[in-house]
Amino acid sequence: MIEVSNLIKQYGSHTAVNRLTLSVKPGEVLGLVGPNGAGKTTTLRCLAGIIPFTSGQVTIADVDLVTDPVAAKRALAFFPDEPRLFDYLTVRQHMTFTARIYGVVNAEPLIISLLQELEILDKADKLPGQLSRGMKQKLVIACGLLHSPKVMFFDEPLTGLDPLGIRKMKDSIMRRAQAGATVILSSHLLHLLEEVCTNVLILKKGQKIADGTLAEVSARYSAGESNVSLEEIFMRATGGVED
Amino acid sequence: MLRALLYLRITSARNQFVAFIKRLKEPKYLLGAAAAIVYLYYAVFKTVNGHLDDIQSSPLGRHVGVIPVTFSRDQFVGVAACILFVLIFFKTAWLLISPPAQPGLKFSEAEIAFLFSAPLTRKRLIHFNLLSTQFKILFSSLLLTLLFGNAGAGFSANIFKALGWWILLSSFSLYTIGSGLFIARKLQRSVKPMLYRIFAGLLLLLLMKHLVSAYLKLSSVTPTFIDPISGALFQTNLLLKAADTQFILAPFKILVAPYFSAQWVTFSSAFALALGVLTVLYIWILTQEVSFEEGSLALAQKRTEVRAAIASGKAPINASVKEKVFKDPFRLLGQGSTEVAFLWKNLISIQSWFNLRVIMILLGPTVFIVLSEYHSVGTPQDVMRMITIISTSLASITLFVGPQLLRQDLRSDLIYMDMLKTYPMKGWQIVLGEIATPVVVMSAVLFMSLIMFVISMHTHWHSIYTASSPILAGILVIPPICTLELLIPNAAVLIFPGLALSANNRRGGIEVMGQRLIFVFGQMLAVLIALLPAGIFGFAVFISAQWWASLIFFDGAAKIIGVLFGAGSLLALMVGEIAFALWWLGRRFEKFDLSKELPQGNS
Ligand SMILES: Nc1ncnc2c1ncn2[C@@H]1O[C@H](COP(=O)(O)OP(=O)(O)OP(=O)(O)O)[C@@H](O)[C@H]1O
Ligand SMILES: [Mg+2]
Repeated sequence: MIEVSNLIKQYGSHTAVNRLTLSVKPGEVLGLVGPNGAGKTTTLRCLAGIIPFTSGQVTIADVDLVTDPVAAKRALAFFPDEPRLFDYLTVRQHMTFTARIYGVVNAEPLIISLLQELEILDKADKLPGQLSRGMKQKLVIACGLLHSPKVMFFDEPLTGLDPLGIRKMKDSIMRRAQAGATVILSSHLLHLLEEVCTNVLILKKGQKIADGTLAEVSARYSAGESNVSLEEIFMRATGGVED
Repeated sequence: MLRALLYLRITSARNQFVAFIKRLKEPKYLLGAAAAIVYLYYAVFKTVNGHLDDIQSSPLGRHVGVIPVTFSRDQFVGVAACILFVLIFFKTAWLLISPPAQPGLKFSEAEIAFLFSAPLTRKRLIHFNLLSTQFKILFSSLLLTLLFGNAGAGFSANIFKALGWWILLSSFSLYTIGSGLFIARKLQRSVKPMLYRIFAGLLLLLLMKHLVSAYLKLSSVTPTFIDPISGALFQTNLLLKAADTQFILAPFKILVAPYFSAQWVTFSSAFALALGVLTVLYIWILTQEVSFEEGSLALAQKRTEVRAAIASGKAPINASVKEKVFKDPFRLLGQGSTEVAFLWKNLISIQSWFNLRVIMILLGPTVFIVLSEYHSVGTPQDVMRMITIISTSLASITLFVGPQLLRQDLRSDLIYMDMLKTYPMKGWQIVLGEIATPVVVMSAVLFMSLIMFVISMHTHWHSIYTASSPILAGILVIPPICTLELLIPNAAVLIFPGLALSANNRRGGIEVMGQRLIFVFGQMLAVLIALLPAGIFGFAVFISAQWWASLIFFDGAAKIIGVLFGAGSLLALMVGEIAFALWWLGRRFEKFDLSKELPQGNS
């Protein structure tokens, strides 16, 4: 479960995230949407403890991120948009290393099953340089899932995956949410978000301009029409409409 | 087209400079820059009132100790030529040990992405590359002149020095590029590249063996000098006078001559000659390149590969170079202290250049030469003396440049900072884990050379007790000394990440020597400050403990007890310092705001 109140992140004098408050419960998937530069990545990086935020309060799985970062980080996993891997470690060595960092009990069979699930088991002894971008991304995901995180942050999780990969990724996220994980993800692929997310939050210039369940948000911007797509809502919310 | 490349080079240089100046707004960078300026000022102007002249009063001269005035300029030229020869020799040997995967010049990833897919001839790319190295070389020559120069020697003398450095660095860099191209091309074309490498390696080995045996034969006619430097100078000069070595060393003498010139007349002729050598090297590169381009389709293919790699969002460099898989150094279990995971990971990556094969290749020839000399020269003392020399030089190289060579710590992992930040670990744990690998490797090498040293000096130890006391002291103090040494560059990464990152990017060779040397000196200074008080205290404890123990025990045992207490108290003090440094760096790591400190790669 994720509780954020009045999160502010400033880069110098530029405010990238402005007084953001949100709450996601176990089983929920929150979709973060907004135009380029809205502050999605910044928000996710603050919540994952990668960059310190200027002010505000963040609670991850009932632990305050500022006062006990180690415990909070043990419960979370962050999946960056650009896969970053160690040059000289093979796929399997990446998994072994991550298992030790998170103190995973009986890691070996778990590693095999995760690699199998993500269909990169045959690449287990390859270096990142020999993997395609999608495979690298799968490896990052496998590493992140190894310690069964309660809270997961995905930044643009679907870019670079093939159609089948996207399908599986969505299923995987939904399945983990149903199993009790708390998820926030950002994406520009709106029609896919519609399938995965239980809630959406629209950001613009660092500010929240709408949030709630999909139905609530669309009711707000639909002006009476029914069946408005998230894309249409996005255009209306981030376009001319002032809030 | 060359214009466009020049534009790229100059704008990048200018933007780098602007970014550097902007960084100075931050107090810590300003402080750092001020310290650097004070340091340079000290290095340059402190010697103005010095009474010794030239080399003796430069910082290097002071480190080396007083050099007898009887040695002439010619002799310094000779020694310097020898040093340059040895450097070139090892460079060539290294190229044979790990030849470049593609015949080539080093380009940054962005340069590859932009330039390789652009309609440029290979020749243009070479010129671009040479131009880039020239920027670095000019800067380095300036720094080196400041470091080793002597303001008291006058303006023109320092001009000679600067141009002398420029010649030295340029020739080394040109040779590196040329020989890299040459060897890579030869290997690509030959049917049995391994055989070729072994053959070339053997030739080098024979040359080395010949020189070493010539050198050793001289030692019988050398008068004994009090200090080893004078002895080495004397012997080197005798060696230079021998006919065959004169022939080998001639080009190197030409290259070092400008540096040691004192008058305009001698300088201009020396400089002209050296420029001639540089031109030869330049033409060598160009001709190889042109024929390479005409002769093969491989390049075009490589380019399409690079293009495809870029299109699929892959880093083209990774795709072509890193494909050797290294084994786990030990079995890493899922549970246990997390620092060990970093040791494990970095021991894997360090094998990319420091592995058993390389050690064997480096040690093999040494052992071969020592053994063969044992037969030709004869006395066991000579062999032992050589082992002493080898072990002390190995130890001093490790102590002084080891921390610069072994970079598998925060310096190489700075680019993974965002990942490290998500790990559920305390800051100090990450710092400790990251420096563990170079500490282990350095300690192992130092300990090995200590044992070699003790064995080679066996006639000096009167008993097993005196012989074992240095080893005992080594076990206690080597690891903490290495830790202290490595904490410093890692602290620099956390305090000045911007500079550290740009230092990583220019992973150039000789071109960035000036900056590297400043780092080395700064590092030594810091280690000295950390070590001196503890060392004095430890020594005092050693003396007093030995004295007390000698009242009760026999001498040998007293010595061991003294060493135990002395080294033990040194150890205790250093552990205290290390703990404090780790705690402080850990906090810095936790507070580290990488969005502020590092240019963000993406999103
Ligand atoms: N390290 C940084 N230093 C200064 N400003 C930054 C930094 N990183 C991001 N910004 C600024 O913060 C704002 C938010 O950026 P952020 O990366 O969070 O956007 P985003 O919503 O993820 O965009 P995209 O959809 O393009 O990924 C932008 O205006 C960006 O210019
Ligand atoms: Mg983003």
